[in-house]
Amino acid sequence: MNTTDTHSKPVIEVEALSRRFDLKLALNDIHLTVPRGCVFGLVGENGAGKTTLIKHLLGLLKAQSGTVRVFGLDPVAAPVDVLGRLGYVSEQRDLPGWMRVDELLRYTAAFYPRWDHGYAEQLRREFVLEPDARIRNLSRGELAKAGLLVALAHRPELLVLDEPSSGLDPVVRRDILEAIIRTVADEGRTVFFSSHLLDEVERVSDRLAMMVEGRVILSGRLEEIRANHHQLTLRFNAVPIVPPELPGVLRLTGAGQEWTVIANGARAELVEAAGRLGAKVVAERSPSLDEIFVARASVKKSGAQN
Amino acid sequence: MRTPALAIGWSLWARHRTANGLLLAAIPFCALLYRAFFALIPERLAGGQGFLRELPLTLLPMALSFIWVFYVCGQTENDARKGFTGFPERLFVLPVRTVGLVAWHTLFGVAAIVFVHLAWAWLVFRPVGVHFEMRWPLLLSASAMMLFQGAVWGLASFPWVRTVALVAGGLAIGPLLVVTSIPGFDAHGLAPACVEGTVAAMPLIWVITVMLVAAERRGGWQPWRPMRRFAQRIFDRAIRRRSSFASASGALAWFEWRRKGWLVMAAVAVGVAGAVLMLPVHALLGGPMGLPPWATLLQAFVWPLFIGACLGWFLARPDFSGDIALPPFHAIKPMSSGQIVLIKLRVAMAATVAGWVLALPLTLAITIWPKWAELCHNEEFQEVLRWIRTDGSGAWWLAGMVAVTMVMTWQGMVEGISIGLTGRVKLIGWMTAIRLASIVAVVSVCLWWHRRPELLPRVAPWIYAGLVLVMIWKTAGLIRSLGEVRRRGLWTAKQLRLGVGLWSGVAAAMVLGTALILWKVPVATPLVLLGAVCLWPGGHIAQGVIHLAGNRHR
Repeated sequence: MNTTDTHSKPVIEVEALSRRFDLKLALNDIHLTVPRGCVFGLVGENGAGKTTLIKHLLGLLKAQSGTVRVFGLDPVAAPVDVLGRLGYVSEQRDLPGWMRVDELLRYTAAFYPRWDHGYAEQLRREFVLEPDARIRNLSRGELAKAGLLVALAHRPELLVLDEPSSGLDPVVRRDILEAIIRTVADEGRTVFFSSHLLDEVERVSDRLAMMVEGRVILSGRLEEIRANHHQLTLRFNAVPIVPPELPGVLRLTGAGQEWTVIANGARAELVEAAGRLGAKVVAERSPSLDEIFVARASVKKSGAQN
Repeated sequence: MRTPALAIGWSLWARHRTANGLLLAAIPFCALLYRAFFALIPERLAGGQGFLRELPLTLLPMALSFIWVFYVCGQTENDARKGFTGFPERLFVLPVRTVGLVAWHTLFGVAAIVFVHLAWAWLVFRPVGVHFEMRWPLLLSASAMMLFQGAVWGLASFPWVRTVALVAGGLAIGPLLVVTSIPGFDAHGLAPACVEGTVAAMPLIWVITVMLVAAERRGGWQPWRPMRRFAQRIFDRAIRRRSSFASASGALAWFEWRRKGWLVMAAVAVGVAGAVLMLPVHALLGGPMGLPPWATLLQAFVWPLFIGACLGWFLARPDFSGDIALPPFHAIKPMSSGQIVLIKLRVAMAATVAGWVLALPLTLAITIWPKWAELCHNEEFQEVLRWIRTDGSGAWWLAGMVAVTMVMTWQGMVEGISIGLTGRVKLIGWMTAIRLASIVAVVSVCLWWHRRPELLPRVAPWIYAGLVLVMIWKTAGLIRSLGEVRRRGLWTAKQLRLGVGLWSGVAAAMVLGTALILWKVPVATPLVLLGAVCLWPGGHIAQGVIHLAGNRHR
């Protein structure tokens, strides 16, 4: 494989991936592509399958059906080649409690030939982590920083963060985590992170995928997703007897004459259909990612129940 | 749950309800099984302790159930970040006084061990004509439970002191329990005096336990803090890693050695020395149990093999965390599963050799202790010891046996590592049970046939046929696992050659050991071969890699 091929190929390719744990279908026919150099946010509520998907990317879970490729390689068949090029921060922060910070750095450095000692020391100072401090005595925030440090110091091509904000206070989250994510992306490397904090994903991601009950219900560039969703407030001439049926509506709330819709797709069609029902648009804005997610998730769930 | 006492009792039962239920079911099951065995024993041997003389390993389920009850009643809970804890911290927030918490746990623990002891003695062994002495052993079981709980809870802040205390307590009380259970057997008057002393100390031990648990409830015993910090500083200075690692293999080997290797080494040393220390007990029991003096000596070589297997499971664990599955911290290191296994095997080898080297001065100190020699009063056994000490060939025989046992200790660890690397608790449990059952079956059969030499010529062809089948099965297992490792690319060609080389070394040691036993030990050839083939290395070296790959990529 030549260099051009390597650089033009997506970093992550997931095709028709499914995973079942006993009776629970944790992942259901997942298709996902993550291009090089982007910040990819994976959002979903707890239990949606985000961590399970990440574990497949790391090769910690073997695909029961479908394929997973990271850097064009199968992470189960070629773990050394894949893992040597990525950095990972787990949600559990499972660092060995008995080690001290300096021992953790020396130990981890031995596994990565491209470990940057100067960068590691710089990060350690920035994160205010004492070299003598024992891991088990660190606070949750400090533990997250230590995990981030060992994931970053070998300058991985792909940084995988599983719920990185968990346990971090808002200042650390905004000033350190987001700055690091942007720095990594600016250097042409790729960040893949999962979160249930949609405002955070909205601030840092270029692309995102939404997961609900093991399925990817929405995936694409953030601007495109925003541009394709509209929130309209409609005023009807008369009180509708049943909730109005409009094309592309994901969520409809309201009562009496005034209803708010979050819709996906062509705005003009929606407005025209509303006009036919005797309604006019009285307010319009772009819905937040949070609102899009709630609307999409409720459609998926009601679809599943039906 | 209307009272705290009921809630505590229920939690002790419910936390391991399946295993506890199995234990309760094992008692009537063994009662029926032993009755069936009893019917097979000729009438002239059935009287007195004849059943045990014929089938001594029928004591094993009883011993295992005792260990289980101790484990369950020593109610401790793991804290993933802090490591081991003692008394469960969640109970400290309940509106119950510490005295009450400790008292109810003690009461349930003592009741459970006494119940299990009585059930085995009366329901299982009495119907087959085995009568144990009950008064002192029951008191000793109860005291052992109180001591165990006291050490586990009270010394929670000092895990190493606790380990030493538990090992020392086990080595002291275990043999006492065995010796005092034999009717009219006082072991030179030592046993009753020791039991009286232990029982008399119990009230004081219990009060100290309550005080230590109360101190834990208030955040640890303050006066110990400066001392602990001082010890920590010295410990850190001695073992803290201050230089970079030359390679990833070096880093992982350091991790394995720092966390488990040195403990394994200490356990091997203590295990080997303990087996020698226990020789007088075996020599004392050998006569009444009808065991040949060679069996007494050989047990000193058999124990390290058992210890090796147990330590292998310990070495297979990623760390001291509660979860035995491979956590992401280890699983995402860019290192092949084959290399990780080879490093574990290397650490196991280093710990085995170092443990045996450490055991030699300990063993020497034990054997020159006059009381030890005095207690080994069995004449036939003294004869064997004299041959080893005075005859040149005896010394060579001993050296050969030590070398073979050292290799086999490592081989035991390899098997333990292979099973442990699956990271699946249930699978490990089942494989352990099957392994233990097969060992018990083989040793029982060997002992039984040893006493029935007239039967051997008739069954020898069947034994040889069985051995050939086992050898074919083990060799097929080896070829299959090596093939799978190669096909999946889990080992490089060089690593594959190393694996085959290690296997060949163990096999050669096995052949040497068999020859040494056949040369001197008066046991029938088919029985020696039966034991040898059961210990013959299968495909565990390669299977460990397959198991780790399965654990890592589930």
